Amino acid sequence: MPHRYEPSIATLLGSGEITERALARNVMHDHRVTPARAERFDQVAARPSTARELTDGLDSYYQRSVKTRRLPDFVMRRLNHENVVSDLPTGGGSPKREVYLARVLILNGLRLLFQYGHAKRILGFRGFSETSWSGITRWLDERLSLASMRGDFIERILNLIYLYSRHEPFQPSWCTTWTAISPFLPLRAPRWMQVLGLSTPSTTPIWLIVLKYQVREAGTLCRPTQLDCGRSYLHFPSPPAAPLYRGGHPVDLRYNPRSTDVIPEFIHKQIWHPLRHWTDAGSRCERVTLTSAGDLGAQRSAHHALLQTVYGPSVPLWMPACV
Amino acid sequence: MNFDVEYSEADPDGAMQRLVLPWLSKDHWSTKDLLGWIAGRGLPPVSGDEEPYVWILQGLPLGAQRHAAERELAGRLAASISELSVTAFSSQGDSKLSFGLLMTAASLGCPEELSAALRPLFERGVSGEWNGIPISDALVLAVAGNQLDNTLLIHWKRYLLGETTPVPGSPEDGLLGILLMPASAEARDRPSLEALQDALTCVVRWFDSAGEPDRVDRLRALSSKVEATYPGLKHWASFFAEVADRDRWPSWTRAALNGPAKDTQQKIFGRSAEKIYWPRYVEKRAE
Repeated sequence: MPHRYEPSIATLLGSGEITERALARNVMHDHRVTPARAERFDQVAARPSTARELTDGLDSYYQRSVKTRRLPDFVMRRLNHENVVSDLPTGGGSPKREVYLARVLILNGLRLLFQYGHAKRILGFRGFSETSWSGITRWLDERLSLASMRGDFIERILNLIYLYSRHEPFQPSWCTTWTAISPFLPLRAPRWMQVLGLSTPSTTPIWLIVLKYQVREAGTLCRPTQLDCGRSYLHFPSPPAAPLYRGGHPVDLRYNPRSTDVIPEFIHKQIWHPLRHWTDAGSRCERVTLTSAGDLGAQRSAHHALLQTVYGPSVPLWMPACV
Repeated sequence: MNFDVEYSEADPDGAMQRLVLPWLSKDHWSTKDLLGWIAGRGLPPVSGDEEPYVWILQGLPLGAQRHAAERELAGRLAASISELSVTAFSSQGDSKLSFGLLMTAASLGCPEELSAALRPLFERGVSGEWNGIPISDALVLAVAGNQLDNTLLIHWKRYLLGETTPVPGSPEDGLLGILLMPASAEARDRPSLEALQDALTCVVRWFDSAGEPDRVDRLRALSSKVEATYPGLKHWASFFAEVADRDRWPSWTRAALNGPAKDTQQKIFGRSAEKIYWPRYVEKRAE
C-alpha cells in the first residue's frame, strides 16, 4: 500500500542527510496522529508531493495550528482525544492531579522574549540587544552568576514569559514527571539534558533552570506527536504497545552506555510559572557547557533497541528501521 | 476570578465554555444553575451519549486557568452537595442528580473543597442507582479521589477484608482508595507504597479464592491503573514483581504482569492496522 505522501517519503528516506531519514521514519510510523489531525495537516500542507513540500508542510502546520495558537490543536478533544492523558477520571487511567511534573528550560533560547522585554522597557530587560548564543550567555552571566541575584531575575523571566505568551503564544510546553527526572538531578546538568533529549545549536555555554509543578496546574495534559514539534528530527514516536498514560518517550542522547529504561514525556499549553515552581525544584540554575549533540543515528538506534527491551518484539514490526 | 473563554465565538466546540465559565466568573451565584445542568437542564445542544456532568467538565479551561476553575467549581459543588437534604441521596431522591454530583466530584479531585462535603455521605451511606450503576459506586470514587490525608486507610482496609460497611465496596474499591490515598497530608503526590503492596496482595487473593474467570485481565487492568496514576514514580514492573515474590502470588498472576495484553499485537498488525499508522502507511506487513 503506497504512502499517501509518496514520493515525498521515499525521497527523504533516500536522502544522504540522516536528519531527513529520521524525520521520514517519524512521519511514517507515528500512529498517534489522529485521523482528524491528519486531515487538518492535509489542509495546511495541501497533500505534499515532494520532500520539501512535506517538511515545509510539517513546519507550516506546527507554526499555524500549534506553536502560535492560543488554543493549539493538541488540546482540542475533537481533534486529539486519543492523546489527551488527563481526560480520564483520577484513578481511572489519568495521573493523579497532585503528581509533580518537571520542565528544564534553556534560558538562552529566550532571545525573542528578552527583546520583547527590552522593547516594552520592562525592568531587567532594558538594553538587551544580544543576537548570538554567546552574547546571550554573557548577558545571562551578569545576571545569574551570583546565586543571591538569581531568584529575583528568574522571577522576572517567568513573569515575562507569561506576559509575552498573552501576545505571542509558544506552544507546546514539554515536560516529564518529577519522579522520572529526579534520579538524574544529582548528576551533572548535561546529563539532565541528555535524558530529556535536549540539545542546543551551539557548544557555547548555556543557562538552564528546572521547574516543578503539579499535573493540576498544567491544564490539559497530552501525549505528543510529530505534529507537535514540526520538522524536528529529534522526536521519536512511541510504539503502539506503549499505553497512553506513559505519554511519549524522549530519546536519551547518551547511547554508550545505553539507558535501561524510558521516561515519560507530555505536552500542555503554556502556563504561568510562579517562582515557587523554580524554588520547589530546588532552585536549580546551572551554567552548562555541552559537547556536540552527538551521533543521531547511534542515538536513535539505541532508543529503538531500548523500546524493544521495554515493549517487546512488536516494536520492530511497527518500525523496522529508525533511520 | 474571571475565566476567559478560549474558543472563538462561532466555534461550536466552545458552547460549554460559554455556558460554564461566565457562571464561574460570577461573584454572586446560586446552586440552582449547577444542579440544573447536572440534571441535564439548561445545557446547549450536546450529544446525549455522555452524562451531563461530562459536558460540564468539558466547559472548563484547557490551559493555565483550569486549576483555578476546577477549584471554583468544586467549591460550588460542595455547597450543592451539602445543601441537598439527606433524602436527595436516598432511594427517593433524583438518582441522576446524585450520580452526576458525585461523579463530578470524583472527576475534579479537589480534596480541599470536597472532602468535608463528602465525608457525611460516606459515613451515613447512600442508596439508589443510575443506569444500573449503584450511587454508592460513584460515592466511593468521589471519596477516593478527594482524600486530604491517609485517615481513610481503615475504611479501605475494611473493603479489602470484605467487611460490611455503610457504603458497600469490594476489595478492588479498597485498592482504589489506597491507590488515591496520599502517603500523608504532606506527601499527596504519592501513595503509601506499603499499604499499596498489602492491598494488591489482598485483591490477588480475593480473585484467587473467588475463582474469577477474568482475573488475569482484571489484574492487568489494575496494574495499568497503578502506573497511570503515578507515572514514573517507580519502576512499576519491578515493584509488582517484588510484591508477587514477597507475598507468593499464585502462578496465574505472571500472565498479568508480563507485558501488554495479547490483543495489543493483534491491534498492531491485525484488522485495525490501518488505524495504527499515520497516515495509513504500511511499509512491510508482518507477513
